[in-house]
This record gives sequence, structure tokens and C-alpha cells, in this order.
Amino acid sequence: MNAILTRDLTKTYSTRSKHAVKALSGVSLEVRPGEIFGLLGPNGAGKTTFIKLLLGIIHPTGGEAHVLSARIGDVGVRKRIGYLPENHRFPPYLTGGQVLSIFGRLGGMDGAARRSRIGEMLDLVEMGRWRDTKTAKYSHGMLQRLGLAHALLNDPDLLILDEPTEGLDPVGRKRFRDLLLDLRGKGKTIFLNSHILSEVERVCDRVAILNRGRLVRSGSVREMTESEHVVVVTLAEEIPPALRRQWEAVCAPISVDGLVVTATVRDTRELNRLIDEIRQHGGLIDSVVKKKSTLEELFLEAVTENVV
Amino acid sequence: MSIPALVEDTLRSRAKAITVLLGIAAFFLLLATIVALVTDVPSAFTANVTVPTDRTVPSGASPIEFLVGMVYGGLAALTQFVAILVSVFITAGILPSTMERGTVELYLSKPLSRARLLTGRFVGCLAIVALTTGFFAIGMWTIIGLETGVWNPAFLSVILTATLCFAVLYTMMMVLGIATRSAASTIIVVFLFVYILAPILRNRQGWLFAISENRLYRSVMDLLYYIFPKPEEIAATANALIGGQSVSWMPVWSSVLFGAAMFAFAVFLFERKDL
Ligand SMILES: Nc1ncnc2c1ncn2[C@@H]1O[C@H](COP(=O)(O)OP(=O)(O)OP(=O)(O)O)[C@@H](O)[C@H]1O
Ligand SMILES: [Mg+2]
Repeated sequence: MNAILTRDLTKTYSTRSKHAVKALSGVSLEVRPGEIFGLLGPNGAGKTTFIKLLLGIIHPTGGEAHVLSARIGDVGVRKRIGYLPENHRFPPYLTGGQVLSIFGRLGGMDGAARRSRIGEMLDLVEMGRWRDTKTAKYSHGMLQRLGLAHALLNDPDLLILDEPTEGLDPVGRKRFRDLLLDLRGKGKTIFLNSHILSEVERVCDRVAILNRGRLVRSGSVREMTESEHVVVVTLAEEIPPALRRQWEAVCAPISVDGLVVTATVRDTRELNRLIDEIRQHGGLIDSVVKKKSTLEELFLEAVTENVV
Repeated sequence: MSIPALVEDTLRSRAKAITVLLGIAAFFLLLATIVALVTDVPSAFTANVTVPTDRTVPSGASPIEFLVGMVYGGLAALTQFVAILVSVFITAGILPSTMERGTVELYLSKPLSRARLLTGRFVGCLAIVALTTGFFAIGMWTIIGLETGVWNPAFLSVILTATLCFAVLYTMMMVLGIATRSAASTIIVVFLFVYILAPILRNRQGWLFAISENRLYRSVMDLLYYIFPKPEEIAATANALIGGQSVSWMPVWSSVLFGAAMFAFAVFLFERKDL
């Protein structure tokens, strides 16, 4: 059973002008229960479109999707979903407390549980002080905090967050990351969109990269960022210049930059042979690590190679 | 569960306008109270007026009943006119702003069908009209009753007819609001209908039939008249009830039928829409 499952999900917006916008083409994606999944992609890639399709806010033009094993369009399952829309606008005539009360009731929560939960959630996002202030007077970050409280109100099994850290201050972001990890610990599934890749890298278990409506890469963050075949060997002492040419001829490293040697190895056996060669040619090894590329590097690569 | 929440939300969205309306109504109620306190209306009236034979007053009515009937008739017409005019203005923006990006997602992501969202808004808007006209009508009825001793509950039917008349118009406004997402165009079209098209259709025998004698043309005009809602005649129902005259229910049920069809159409449009 998957938390989210889409098959060939496609959305073409029909616009008044002649050309229709193909916002999503054939996206097949799986989000497993209990994981934090990040959907990445440049502006206009179709991330928000994907989320809105899952929630039945817009209708697909092709393919199918299931959320918590229910077909999209099944209204009842939304009781178990928490959603933070991008650039959300709460009704400005409501206070923070009223927003949570009204949307809590719309979410199907009943009386006593709702009331105690509202206080709890406002405290969680440190907005208790602003409970009786109209949201029209909130700052950007305060609205975002209220949005999070609203998304978490019904204690959802699946949390869908569109640009959740947008507008949060650094302390708020840190607390937000901790919150996500905490929720995952409780078995919740989290699906999020974000442009802040360093953050995604820190919290997400798996990511998918969307570009121009197509899924260009997906996988676990560790697998994607940890390159199997490139290792970085840091030396304590350089290989003597006399032996170096000979060693390079044998091992063919990608680069040697002072004490840092970068090389390609196909497997563990080859890695050990590299280490042996360095030692035999007089090098003294300090550390060996698999090269890690950042999610950002990966993202840029995935998105630009797809442009052509 | 979700409908009361939506009604509360709708009322809160128009809290200021409702407060102002209730304030204005309270002002007129106060004025009426002062008039009632400083003058003894029944004796002043019987001393100065002889009752004409008027068909808006049930035969055998006492002079004071005649007076109250007149006042009720005027108040009923005025209340309904103002109620419709003002509430169209107040409520036209509610659906378009619910459908704004960033807001509509918040509502639609809840376990609540689109039809239910529309129903909640619909009931909320009716509540605005019922609340404000109810406050004014019940207040006036009480003051007049206490002063004159005449208690005619038929006057309170204005609350129903005003709300019903608005309800039918609001179903049109829902369709317009969903299709155009604009409060201004909704208001324009509804007013064109209420103050121009509906009166023309109602007086088709005098105006439209003068254009041509073609039977098909005339039948089409008749048909249009029966299909479209009849706000003026719904309002007149209250006056007929107050005067104890026979009531023609055709305008009421045909308008309700139109409203039901419009409501269904609004739901259909809203369901299909990408928001
Ligand atoms: N209602 C709409 N009508 C027509 N086109 C739309 C509509 N909404 C989105 N689009 C188009 O669909 C494409 C994808 O938009 P979407 O909002 O899903 O992007 P995104 O990945 O969320 O971008 P961002 O990172 O900027 O939030 C864009 O080209 C956009 O112009
Ligand atoms: Mg987006």
C-alpha cells in the first residue's frame, strides 16, 4: 500500500489563448507510508499542479492517482490529509483562532478534541499570542506558521506541504525540520515541495525531480547524492614526485589536487587496488570517502541536461 | 457539521455590513418607538380620518386596522425592496473571493464536496437576509402591535418572501459568480434582470406584445415569463397576505423551480472547474 500512487498522471490546462499548457505529462510516482518525500523542480515545473491534482482541486486530463488508497476525488479521505497550499490566503476577516476553528470543523473534527488541539497547534508554531488577531494583520511568516498549524490540526496521516518553509526565519526553519522528523517518527507520511535543496537534503528520504512537467529523476536521497563510483582519497603525505608518473599511469585518477586524489572505481576490489597502489608508490593515506555530490549539483544537472 | 461552519464563515465575512444594516434598522425602530411614545396614534387617527372603502383592507376592518394595514403594506414593500437591493450588493463578492487562488485550496482540501461548499455559502447568504429583515420586521411588528393593539402576523411573511426572493436571485448570482469570478459583473447582470428584464416580461402584454402579433413570438415571450423568476410578484405575495387577499402562488413556485435548476447548474459548473 502506498501513501500516494500516480500512474501517467497528465494535466493540460486549457487556456483562452490557442496554445494549451501541458503542465504535467505522464508522471508516475510512488510515495511510501512513513517517508518524507520531496518533489523538486524549477519554477513552473508542475509541482503545485501535481499536488492540486492529488487533492481534487483540479481535474486530471489523463492517468490516474490514488491517495491513501482512495481514488482522487474521494472526498472522505481528505479527513486524513493535512495540506498547506503555496501562497495561501486565509480569510482576512477571521482571527487565527477562528481560522483553526472553522477549518477544523470543515475538516470533520468535533468539539472538545478540536478546541484542545487548536491551543496545542498554536503553541507548537508559537502563535498562541496571536490567536485573537485577524489574519489580515499577520506578517508573511506568521501566516505561514498559521498555515502549518492548520495543516497539522486534524493530526493527518499524510501531510502535503507546498513550499512549507517559505517565509520562515532560520529558527523557524530549524524547528520545522525537527517537527517533520518528529512526525515521521510517529509514522506519518510527508510530501513536500521546496526550492531550498539544502533543507530537502537534510530531511527527505526520497526525492523526485520534475522538469517541464516530466519526471526526470527519482530515488533515495542517499543513493542519489552518494556516488558509487567516485572516491576521494586524502593523503597525509604526497606520493614522491619520482614515483608519481608511474602511479598515475597505473591508476588513472580523475584529478590529483595536492593531497586530495579523486578517482573512479568500479567496485570494492578496485578501490582496494587503488589504495594498494597509492601505498606501494609511497603515499600515506589519511582518509577514503565516497564522493558526495550535493542535491543542488544533482538538481542542476538533471534540470539542465533535460533542456536540450 | 460543515454547513454550520460555512454559515458562520459566511456571516463573519460580512460582519461589518451586517452590523451596519442592523444599526440602520435599529435606528428606524428607535424612531418608530419615539413616535409611538409621544403620540397616541390610534386616537389621533380615529379623530381625523374617515375610512375610505379600499380593497387592500379586509371589509369590516376598523379604522385602526385599516391604518395598520396601510402601514404594513408600505413597510413590506420598502423592506423587501431595500433587502434585495442591499443583499445583492453585500453577497455578490462572497463566491468570487472564496474561489480566489490560495483560498479555494483551503476549502476544497477538506472532506467536503463542492456541492456542500456551495450549499453552505447559499445558506449563509440567506441567513444574512433573514437575519436583517427579521430583525427589522419583528421589531416593527412588535412596536406597531403594542401601540395599536393590532397584531397581524401576516406582516411577518415579509421575512419569508424577502428571503425567498433573494434565494432565487442568489442562485443566478452563484452561476454568474462561478462563471465570471467577478462580483461587479454579477451585480450588473442581476440588477439588469430584476429592474429591466423581469418588469418587461411581467408587462409583456403591454410592451412586448405591441411589437408583433406573431403567435409564436408571443408564446415565446409567455414562456420566458413563466421560466424566469418573478421577484416583484414574490414580494407582492407578502402584501396580498397582509391584506388578506387571495394569493397567486404561480410566481412563487415557478421561481423556486427556476432557482432549483440554477442551483443545480451552479453545482455542475463548480464541480467541473479547475480551481
Ligand atoms: N490555472 C492555470 N491555468 C493555466 N496554466 C496554469 C495554471 N496553473 C498553472 N499553470 C501552468 O502550469 C505550469 C506548472 O505550474 P505549477 O504551478 O504547477 O508550477 P510549480 O512547479 O509549482 O512552480 P513554482 O516552483 O514556481 O511554484 C506553469 O507553466 C503554469 O504556467
Ligand atoms: Mg508551485
